[in-house]
Parts: sequence; C-alpha cells; structure tokens
Amino acid sequence: MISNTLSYIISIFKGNLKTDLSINEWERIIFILRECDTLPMAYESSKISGTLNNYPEYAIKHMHAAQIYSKRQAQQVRYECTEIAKTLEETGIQPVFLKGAGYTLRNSRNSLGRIYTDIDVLVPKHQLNAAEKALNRHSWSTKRLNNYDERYYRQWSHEIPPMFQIHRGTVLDLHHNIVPPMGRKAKDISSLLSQTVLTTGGFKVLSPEATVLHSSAHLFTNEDFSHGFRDLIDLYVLISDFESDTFWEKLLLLAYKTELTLELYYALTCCKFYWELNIPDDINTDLRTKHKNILTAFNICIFKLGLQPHHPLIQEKKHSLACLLIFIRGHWKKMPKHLLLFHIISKAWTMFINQIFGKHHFDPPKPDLHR
Amino acid sequence: MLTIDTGAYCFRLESDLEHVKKMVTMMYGHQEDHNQIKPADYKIRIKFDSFFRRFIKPQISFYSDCHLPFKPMPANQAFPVLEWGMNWCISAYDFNHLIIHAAVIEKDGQAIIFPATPGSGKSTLSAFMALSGWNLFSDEMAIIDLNSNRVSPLYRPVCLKNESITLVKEWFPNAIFTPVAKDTHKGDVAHLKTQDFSCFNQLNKAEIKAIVFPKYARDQDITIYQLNKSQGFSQLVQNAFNYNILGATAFDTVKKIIESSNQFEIIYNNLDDVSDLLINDILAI
Repeated sequence: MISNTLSYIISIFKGNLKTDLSINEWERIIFILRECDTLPMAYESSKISGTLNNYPEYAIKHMHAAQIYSKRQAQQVRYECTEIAKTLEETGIQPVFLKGAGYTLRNSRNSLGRIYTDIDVLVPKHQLNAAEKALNRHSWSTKRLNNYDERYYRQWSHEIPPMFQIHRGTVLDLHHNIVPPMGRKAKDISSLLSQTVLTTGGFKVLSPEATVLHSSAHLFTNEDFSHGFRDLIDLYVLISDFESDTFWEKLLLLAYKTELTLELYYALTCCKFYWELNIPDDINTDLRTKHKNILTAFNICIFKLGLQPHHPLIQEKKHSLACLLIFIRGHWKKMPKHLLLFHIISKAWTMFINQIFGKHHFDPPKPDLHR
Repeated sequence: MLTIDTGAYCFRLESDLEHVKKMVTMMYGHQEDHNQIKPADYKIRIKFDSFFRRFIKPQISFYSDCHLPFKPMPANQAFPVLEWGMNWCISAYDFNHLIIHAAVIEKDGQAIIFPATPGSGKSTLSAFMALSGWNLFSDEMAIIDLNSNRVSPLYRPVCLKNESITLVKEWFPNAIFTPVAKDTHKGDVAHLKTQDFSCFNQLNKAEIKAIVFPKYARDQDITIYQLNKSQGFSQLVQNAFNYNILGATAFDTVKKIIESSNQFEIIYNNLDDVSDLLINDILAI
C-alpha cells in the first residue's frame, strides 16, 4: 500500500531516512513535498533529527528555499494575530486562534516550516456580528462570492465567508463553531471551545488535548483531503510533543465528553499506520472496543489511501476512488440530506459548465501573467 | 518529456502541443543527452484546458506540477505562456537568491544590470547587446547570490514585444526567432535565440560592476549621469521580486551590491553608443 517514494517521505519526518537514494528518487521526493506544502516542514524536521546534512545538495537547496518562505509566513502570522486580537479585544471579544495560527502562536514543533493559506479565528456565536463589524472597521473586507456560495456560508456553515486584509491580502476565516451547525456533532463539540490556554505571548489557543481533538475532528469530518497528508503530520507531531502521563488520560476523557472518540480512533489508527505512533494499551483497547467494526474498518481503509500525498507520482486509481468516497462521506455527514441534494446539483452544474467551456469561462478577462 | 536546462534551473516539460515542443527545441536546442542525470528543479506542463477547448477556440493552461498559477490562454500563445510560467516558477520558489526584475549583460567577468523601469527598452537592449559581442545573462531576471554581488547566467531566449521585433529583425536578419504570438497581454510577442548552449556553458557567475537605468529619447544624444547611492538602493529594491520574503538578508545583499558597484542613468537614441559607453566609461573605471 505504501510505495517506496512515500516510505522515504515518511522516514524524512520520522528522522530515520537512509541516505543512499538515487538523485531521481530525490527529484520525486522534492516534487511531492512541494505540491503538498510540506517542503519546509521536511527541512525543519530533518534539521532537528540531524539528517539534513546527509542529503544531496539538490534536496537541501529546495528545502532551504521553501523554509525561507515559511519563516516569512510565520512572522506575518504573528503580526496579523496581534492585530486581530487587538481589534477584537477593543470590542470586548477574546478570540481563540485555531489550527495553523494556533500552532505558530503556541510555538509547537509542527508549526516549524508550516505553510498557511489563512488564519482561523473562533469567536462565540453571539459575538460573531460584532466581530465582523470590528474587523471591517480595521480594513478586513469580505470576499465577494456568488449568491449560492454566500448563502451556503451564512446559513449552513460554521464560518462566515473568508475575509481579507485589503492592504496586506492576508485571509482570515472567522468561525463561530468548529464544525458546521447543521451536522449531528455541532452541540457536543461546542464544549471543546471552553478548553483554552494562554500562550506565553498572551494569545488564547485550545488546550493540548482540545487541539488534538479539534485537528482530528477537522480532518476526519472534512470532505477534502488535499491537505490530508500535512494534517496527519500535524497530528503525529502534536501528539508526540504533548505526550505525558496525564495527556493520554485527559485526551480520552475529553474525547468522551465531546463525543469525538470516533474521530480520535481514526486519527490514532492512521498515525499508528503511517508513523508507528506509540499509543498506550489501555487507550488503544478502549477505543477499539468502542469503535472497531466493519464500517469503521472500511472508513479507515479509504482514509489511509486518501491521506497519502495528492500527487500523480504516488496516486493510482484507487486513491482517486478513495478521495471521491471521502468527498461524498464528508458532505453526507455535514449536511441534512435535502440540502445535500441541492448542494450537489448546484456544484455539479458549475463543474459541467467548466468541463465544456474550460475553467474560468465566466471570469472577467484579466490576464495577470507577470508583474 | 522534454528537459529545459537554463543553467541555474532545470525544468522538466510535459506537453501535448507539438508546436510548443518544436519551439522549445528551436530556442533551447536538443538538451536531453547531456542532462539525463541532472535532477529537474521544477516540473511544468502545457496542456489543453478541456477536451472541447482543444477544438473550439483552442485554449491552453500552464501547470507548475499539479497546480495552475494563471488562467488559461489562447493556444497560439502557448510558447510565451511557457516562458512566463518558467519565470513564475523561479520567482515563486527560489528564495536562495535575491531576484531582481532586470536585464543582465556581461563582458570579461564584469556584469551590468539594467533594472526593468518602464520605458527602459531592456528587452531590445538585451537583444542588441547579446548579438553585438556581449554575453547575455538574462533579459528578465538577475539571479544574485545572497550576501554577495555575484550574478548567475541564465540560458533563456529574449522576449521581444511589438515594434522591437521588427527592429531587431532589421538589425540582425539571420537571428533565430519564434513566430510572433499576436495579442498577448503584452501585445505581440516573439522570442529570440541569442546563443548556443555550448557557448553558454563557458559562462561563469560574474561580479556586478554597475547598475544602469537606461532611458530611450529619440532626439537626445547619449548622456550619462551618476546616481547617488540612496537612489540606486531604492530603485533596485523596487525591482526586486522577493525582497519582502528575504527581509534582512535582501537588505544586506542590496547594500553590498550598491556599495561595490556604480549606479548610472543613461539617456540614449542609439544602442551602438550605449555599448561603446559601457565598455569605455563603465567597465574601464
């Protein structure tokens, strides 16, 4: 199930790569890591494990370049988070920074070399409007969407349409919940939100256990696994770093309280499969007894395939099929069925038009090839 | 799969368009033999946008490996789109160098940089110099080692636009041009081959001797002004692609270049005069 190239990539993050790879193998590795946004993470973990200097100059060169870009992003994320926190606190709202921004602010090992597409911020639902207005006053604007997408966000989603800083172009996702409110899980998960800690810089982020559960819930309720490989690295590194006597116990307890034991079971099983993560026996037994059955075994099988880097050098037909099943499953879990039907028809129509006329057919003509 | 070796960067190209492959061979020559073992830095593809757009108003897309940095373009612009796509890859992924939007020419191990200020005519100037005894390092980007003032040569064709295509064809009737791609977002575009790969292979990184801001003025004889260091600094920074990503390292590098080179503005109406002036008054300092 795991190709040679993928096993080398996994070893890079585990810090035990044997170094007599051919230069063509390195070319494949660099292409795959670059496409799944993990080239700088590979640099940082190779540096920590001391294997970097054994790599050929070709590999070091590309990892190093990517790492410079990610350092710049981390600096930008810290700056933007400071600004966002200041803006919201003026209105009496204390935001919680989730996912990538949260990792950077708490300085966890998986934040090293991480590439961001946006900053995720959580505010209580009753303060959502006030938060949006306050951000508007500080040059955060909302992206214009088509009517369908706008309604999708406002009525059915757990976040408002992406906002962007008009001077700096940073993208901000303002959440009022961790998963879409229409889904079955919404209420249970809300209690994760109270599990917060303050970073040394004074930012509010989720506690270690809540972080792991949120990342698991986010990954295994998602319909899109295009960043699945990176997200699994996040989970593996986070758990390895947080690990302590009390961590596992608290993690399981919180998983029960928030009814996220299934997502935790998926996360731990996949981490064990790809990274040989050590899971204490009692935790393992507990989750297996509760969740091991034919359906979950099938799901785990498609997750394992879907979590591989999305790149033609690795993917075969079975991977695309797995991704399709994950896509359908994600939507199935997320939305009530009548909405899902409407959603599928609406999206399928757009895809159909794109197939016939080519993508961007209805975009205004604005070729922007070069500055 | 075609390999395009530009010296500092090696590309692996996949394309289902025959005319793109033909033009790549025309501009870059047959490169497969000598770089089988060299790993590619970037994988790129030029493909038809959809099955239907292969036949009806043919439209192509440039892919950097799996993703699309630009919107699709008419198929007749495929080669220019490929060239711009290659530029995009370099500026989107290489942060090991300071990259400045500029033309670079060299003689006897000394390089002169012409930042791409509007109206400078840098492409025409690049084409002229390359075919008049100078070594062309690039008509588009100066690839500079960090914390140094050394610039690397790139093996790329010159991108000529609009009237300058006719002009350069008049000056050098035997030069190798691609057919003109009409109505691109930069107007009509043709690419010009200025050297063979074997000659290019003799070139080495060069010290930056001067930064020159050229201005074409039809009625004015050649005039040269020395710029002060702070003018030179800010002009160079404005034309750097990745200054904001490299941060302090970029500042130090630009500082080093400015301190160890001279900066001039040249007003000209004849490129022969410019070449003489560069040789006699700038390289000879």
